[in-house]
Amino acid sequence: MKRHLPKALVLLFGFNFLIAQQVAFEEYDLDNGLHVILHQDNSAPVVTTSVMYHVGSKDEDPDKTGFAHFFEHLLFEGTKNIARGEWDKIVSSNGGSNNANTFLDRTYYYETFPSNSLEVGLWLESERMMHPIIGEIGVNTQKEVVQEERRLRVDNSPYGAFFEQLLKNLYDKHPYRWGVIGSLDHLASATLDDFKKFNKTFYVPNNAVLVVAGDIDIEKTKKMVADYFGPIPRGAEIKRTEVREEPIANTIMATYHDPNIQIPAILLAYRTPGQAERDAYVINMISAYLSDGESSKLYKTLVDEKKIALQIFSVPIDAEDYSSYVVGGLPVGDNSIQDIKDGIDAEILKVQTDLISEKDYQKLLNKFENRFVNANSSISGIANSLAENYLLRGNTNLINEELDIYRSITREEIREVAKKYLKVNQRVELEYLPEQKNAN
Amino acid sequence: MKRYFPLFIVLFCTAVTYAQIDRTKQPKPGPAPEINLKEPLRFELMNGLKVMVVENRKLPRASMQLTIDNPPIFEGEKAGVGTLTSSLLGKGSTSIPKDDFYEEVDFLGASIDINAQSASASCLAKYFPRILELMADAALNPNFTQEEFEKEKDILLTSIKAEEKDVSAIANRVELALAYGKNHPYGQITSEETVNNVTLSDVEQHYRNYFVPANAYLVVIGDVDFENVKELVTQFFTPWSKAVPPSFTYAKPSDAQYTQINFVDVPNAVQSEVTVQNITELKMKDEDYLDALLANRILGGGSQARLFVNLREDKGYTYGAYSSIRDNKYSPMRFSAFAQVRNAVTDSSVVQILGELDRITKEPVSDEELANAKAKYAGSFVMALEKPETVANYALNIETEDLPDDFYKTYLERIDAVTKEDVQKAAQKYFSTSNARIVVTGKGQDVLENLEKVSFNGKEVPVLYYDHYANKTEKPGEVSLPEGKILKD
Repeated sequence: MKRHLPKALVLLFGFNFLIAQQVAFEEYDLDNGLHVILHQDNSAPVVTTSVMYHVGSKDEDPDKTGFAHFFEHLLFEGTKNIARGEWDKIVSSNGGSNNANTFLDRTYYYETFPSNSLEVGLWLESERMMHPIIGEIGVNTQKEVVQEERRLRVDNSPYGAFFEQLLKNLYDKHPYRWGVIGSLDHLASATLDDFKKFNKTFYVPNNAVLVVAGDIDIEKTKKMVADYFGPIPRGAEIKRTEVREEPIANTIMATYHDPNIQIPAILLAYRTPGQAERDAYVINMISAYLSDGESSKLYKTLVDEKKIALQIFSVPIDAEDYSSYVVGGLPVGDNSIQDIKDGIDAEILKVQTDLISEKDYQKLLNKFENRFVNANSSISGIANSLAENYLLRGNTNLINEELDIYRSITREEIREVAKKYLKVNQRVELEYLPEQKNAN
Repeated sequence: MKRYFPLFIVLFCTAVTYAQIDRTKQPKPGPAPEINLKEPLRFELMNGLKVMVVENRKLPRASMQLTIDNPPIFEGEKAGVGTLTSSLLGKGSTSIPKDDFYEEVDFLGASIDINAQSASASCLAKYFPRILELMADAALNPNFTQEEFEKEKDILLTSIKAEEKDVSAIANRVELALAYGKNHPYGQITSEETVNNVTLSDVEQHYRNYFVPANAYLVVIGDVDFENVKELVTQFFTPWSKAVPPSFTYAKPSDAQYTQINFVDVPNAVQSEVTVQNITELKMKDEDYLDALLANRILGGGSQARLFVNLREDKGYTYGAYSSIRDNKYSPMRFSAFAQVRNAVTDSSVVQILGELDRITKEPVSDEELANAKAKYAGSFVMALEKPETVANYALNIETEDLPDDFYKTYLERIDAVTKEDVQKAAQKYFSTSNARIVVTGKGQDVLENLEKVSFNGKEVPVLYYDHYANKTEKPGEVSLPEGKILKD
């Protein structure tokens, strides 16, 4: 009996650790529909204010793509009370930093400040939501800037077109098919009215979540949030039409030639469940099993033992309606992309046929525990997770519960999900190749 | 009646609170937060390894970082030996086979990375003792094998091939080679030829020479206990034999004799990489170190700096334009102002960047620019305290850069004391418009015609041509001349 006691104490202690690590937060709605999440942590004098809008490239008109990403630029151009060119000056004169990003389903704007400038952050984000200036000068400048962004990230960048090419092939009807940066032609021909209409539709409090995290006082912050965001009028209800794709029945073969590369790549992409679904978590575990760490199956066989791959990777790309799971690699020396494809297929077949070993399963849980602990190491990271968990996964508290989901996934489930989603006939096979010699 | 009362109050209150703020003005920030700079705990081993420990229990994790502060190493004909040494380290040890090592590290959900002159690891706090032991074992008792050597060499050769058409990789390689010279550690070029000169025994020797504790620092951060760390580190790192790395000299890099464009033709480029660079000598301990940082910040340190505002926000030439100033106690370094711009505005971008360099050296910056730049540094300094590694980094800099003990305690005061004159003086000292090397990497067919017409301060800027490995060459598309002659326009 006595010998078991210390062990029990250790367990209890361990449990307390996880409680201590809980990210405490409060959430509520303003009358105009703005969802607010507050997280207080006074251990460092840092505060993040951020707004995530539920608008991404999938909300665009198929004939006017690239708008959501364009707005990521445009909404720094000034507001009724902030002149053009002043935004970044205000942020840096308060010692802060700021940026924004856009994806398929959402756009995220954020600032991080020393905590004495909290009110400045709230003012900035409320101005952006309340009355941004959408004018000729800003629109014309940002049209040029976005073209350069595309050249930098896609056209001039080795392997830069892979995501765009995959989406184009993975989706037939779904608005994910045109990707985040969209069409430069659409942007070039878009009018000021098009942009104003897009703004009025999507950048409204009832389509957004505000997060304030860090060195704050909850009651004072609530009052300031009400002051700055309360007067913003609610927008019209947003109608979203759900687009369902027919499952892929036959392998989609695609080729793309990239003038910036010398080594070909093979990319195998599967359409997988939306990020809120349990199966999406299972795919994350499969991905870690296959390619996270030097003892992972794909790395160990293809890079280490058989020495046929220069690089091997597998990435689940989370999104709301469907996620995608991409597995691929680059051959080393005289090996071919066919060799890599065969190697990947052999490993996926094993996951579909046999249960992964008990030891590998425990390894996965340890990896996810490590990720979980490290995920909440910065205030700006916590703010981002809170916003995304609320807006795209419908449960803010996932920030504390995510690990439990992984722990509840069984080895059998891993096998079933691999069987269900990772079928050869249900994927895109993209051969990503150097440009042919005669092309120049 | 009574039931309506609370609602009335709510509405009333809301109406009152909305009226209280003035949106037309930026809210005033509150009083600056108090800063509390802690010191790491320290000890030193007999072999010279210095250890710093930061106890931070916020999250149940630990990280460790071993830094070997050696002077830069010139690899010459065997360029790539350092990279290969890095690749071959961290594959187990003389007593733990590679597969078992990988398996155990992954099983614990941890990561360990060993390089030619550093090592790092991170893990959950409960696995700290074992991960520290594995890191030390892999770092101090590597198992170099011919089989792994051949594999890593193949991978390195394929990676070099992979970069052949990568515009920014080519630009970066040529910029460094031209700035420092190919006979300098920072300018040397790793090519298929030099990699093929490297043997396994070169790797072993490189490791023996440079992976030594004379200039080594180990930083441990996280949910750890100092006494325990001391005991474990002493146990695992005492076997590391005391030794000093060999020293050698190399040519000091120097600036171009006159401002010139160095053009590198990459026919697949849809953007040009434009970099204006010169050599500077800047150390952290220099009196004008902060002046130089502020000058760079105002010129090209972010999205409200002059280069970005001019080339992106005003002209739409680029997605971003920036500048970087680098300090180094061992070697003069490159200052650079750069942007990736669309082909059609390559020449205009060169003119704009030179213009901005000229302006910041000739005219004092505005009060507003200086105040904002200072605020940005102060804010970053305050916000960096969120990371537990910050205090360790500061302590490490004080040691390795020979800084006064109160360097960071007085940091904010010293930032605040910098004047417009100081900034201009630093700009004049560190940014050159008369000996600048303007490296343009892009599609000659589209950009050269206009690039050859670029003039600056009334003088034409000559264009010289270089190949992808920084060798002088002739103008793209021209007929070859006999060897040794360079075509000038």
